[in-house]
Amino acid sequence: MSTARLEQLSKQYDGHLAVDRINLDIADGEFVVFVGPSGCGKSTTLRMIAGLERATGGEIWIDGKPANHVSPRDRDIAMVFQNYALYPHMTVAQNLSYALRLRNWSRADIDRRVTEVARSLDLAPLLHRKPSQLSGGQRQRVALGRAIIREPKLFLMDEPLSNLDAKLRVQTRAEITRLQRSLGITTIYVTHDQTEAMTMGNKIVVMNGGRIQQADTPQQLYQHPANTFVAQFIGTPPMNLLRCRLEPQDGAIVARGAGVNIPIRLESLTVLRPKIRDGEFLIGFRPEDIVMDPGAAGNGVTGSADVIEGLGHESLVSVKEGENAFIARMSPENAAPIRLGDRLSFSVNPDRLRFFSAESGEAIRVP
Amino acid sequence: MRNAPSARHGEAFLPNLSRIAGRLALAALILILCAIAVFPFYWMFVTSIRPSGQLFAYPPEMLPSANSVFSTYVTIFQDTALGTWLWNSIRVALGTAILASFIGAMMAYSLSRFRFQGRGFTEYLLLATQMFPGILLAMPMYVLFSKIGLLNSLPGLTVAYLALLVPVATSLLKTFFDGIPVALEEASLIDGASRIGTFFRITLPLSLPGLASTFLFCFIIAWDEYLFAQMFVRQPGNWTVSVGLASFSGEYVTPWDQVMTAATIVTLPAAIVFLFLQRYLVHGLTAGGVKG
Repeated sequence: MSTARLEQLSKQYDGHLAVDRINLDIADGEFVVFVGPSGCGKSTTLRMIAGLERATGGEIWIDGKPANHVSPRDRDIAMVFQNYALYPHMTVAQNLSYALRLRNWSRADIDRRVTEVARSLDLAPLLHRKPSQLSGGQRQRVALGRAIIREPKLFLMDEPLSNLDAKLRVQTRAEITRLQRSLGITTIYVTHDQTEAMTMGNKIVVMNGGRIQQADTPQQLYQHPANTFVAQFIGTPPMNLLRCRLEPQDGAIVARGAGVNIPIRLESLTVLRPKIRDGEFLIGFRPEDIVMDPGAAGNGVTGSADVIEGLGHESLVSVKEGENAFIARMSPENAAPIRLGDRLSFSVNPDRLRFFSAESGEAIRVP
Repeated sequence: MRNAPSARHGEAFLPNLSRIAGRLALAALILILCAIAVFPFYWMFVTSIRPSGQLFAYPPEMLPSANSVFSTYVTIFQDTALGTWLWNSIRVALGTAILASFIGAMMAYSLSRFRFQGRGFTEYLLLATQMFPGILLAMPMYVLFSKIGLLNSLPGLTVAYLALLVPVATSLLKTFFDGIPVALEEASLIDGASRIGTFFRITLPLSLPGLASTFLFCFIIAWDEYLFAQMFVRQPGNWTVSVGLASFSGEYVTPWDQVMTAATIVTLPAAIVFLFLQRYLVHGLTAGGVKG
């Protein structure tokens, strides 16, 4: 059982900062997912934890011990690679037992353990095959088996599902989650797919430009994104962000912008006002947090229907108004009568409104 | 509309015919090329077993004559030092091939896997060594070798060959190592192997085809080499077969039956090495290890 801790961890490649002073605590048994666009530094971070890349700054602690100068073989970690990295000249059984043979396990113990792991991953009939004789999904399971066979302190997974087809990916996703929960091994998982991140992790670390944007539970990340990057990266479709200003209206204060006219609560105003310098800010809400409401004309968001996408179980309606655009998620029945160019009005759930600085993109937390 | 099916049938029939014709033409071409390649060897062998009286018969006989003699294959070892030369050549060629492959593998691995100052320049230098004609290198090497006492010795000749072949072996093997996914080595490092353990357990077994072709290449070059061997080794006892073979051509007479017999014998070791290694040459061992 083990923990990991990153302190001011940095990696510089020829003058370019790939990972920029990140701090993170990973608790025992936690399933942490690093997610971000390509080039955000998530894989580099993972490879530094594995010991495959040397950190140019900061500290890595595994189980309370400094690990920066420990070689990969002595870190007691296991890693699943994006392209599986199975040893092509060895059979499945030899691939699985490689780490055990290096540790001088007895033949009997190796055989017993290989059989155990093969059974748990449904690999028993394939033990004598070479990797080239396996399907993508089978290779993936061998790679997983090679990682779990010696019960390491840490599991590291670098986009292990990205080479599988969509159906198999969903299956394996559940499989890995189940495996991790049952083994209870601390796991760090890297992906660029936010759905994978949301469904698998206890804790999600959103990275961009070498920095951690937010590290939190999936719920928190979805409901309270720390900035506009997280708001737009997590969720399909992303959070709607509309540009507006505070303006007085009938003795109250409203957020007003192209197609936006939303009253702001007094207690929110006291926090919001000092943080908006030049008057402009972004208002954010998820596509499911607005409801079509023809009566809401002066009290919500409005615009003309631009694109209508039917997904079967739901419809996504893109609405445009001047510089602002947003997407509404609704039932296919509600979307059916809508024609392109129709004027639509929506009321917004006031509890789900989020505010962001227009300059920095940072969230402004209001009561 | 009604004609369409039969028209399609006709169309399908015609390309079939032309495809067969094309195949036949290709097969014929391959056969002709093979014959051109094989004929000198055939002629070499046939001449070697022809009684000396019929060597210059005109018109030449294509088939081995009824009274073929194989005695030259025995007498040549008694009359000449061919046995010694063969043994010298085997030692030099094997030594060169083993050392060049080994040193080349080490160099190629570091060039392929590690980033260090001067890496690009080293690669450029490796290429640059191949730009000089042999004779240009032979002269300064001769001077150098005579100063340090490497002339007239088989180890000296091996060193000369290594100087020529290590850069080639390195370039050949580097291409090969570049093709082996780094992820395999990283997986092995994480699984608990050391860097050198990974090299021997993962990288080397996967590069067997590359090693085999490099070994073969170096062996054949060293086996056939004449210029350096002739310049650097003067004592007949230390000659290699290429020099020995050339010594058969006398000023007035060349015993063609002996030359051809020796030539046939000389071709054999290279052929044996090739047959032994050829199964590694064709195999793509890395298939299936990583995706994409």
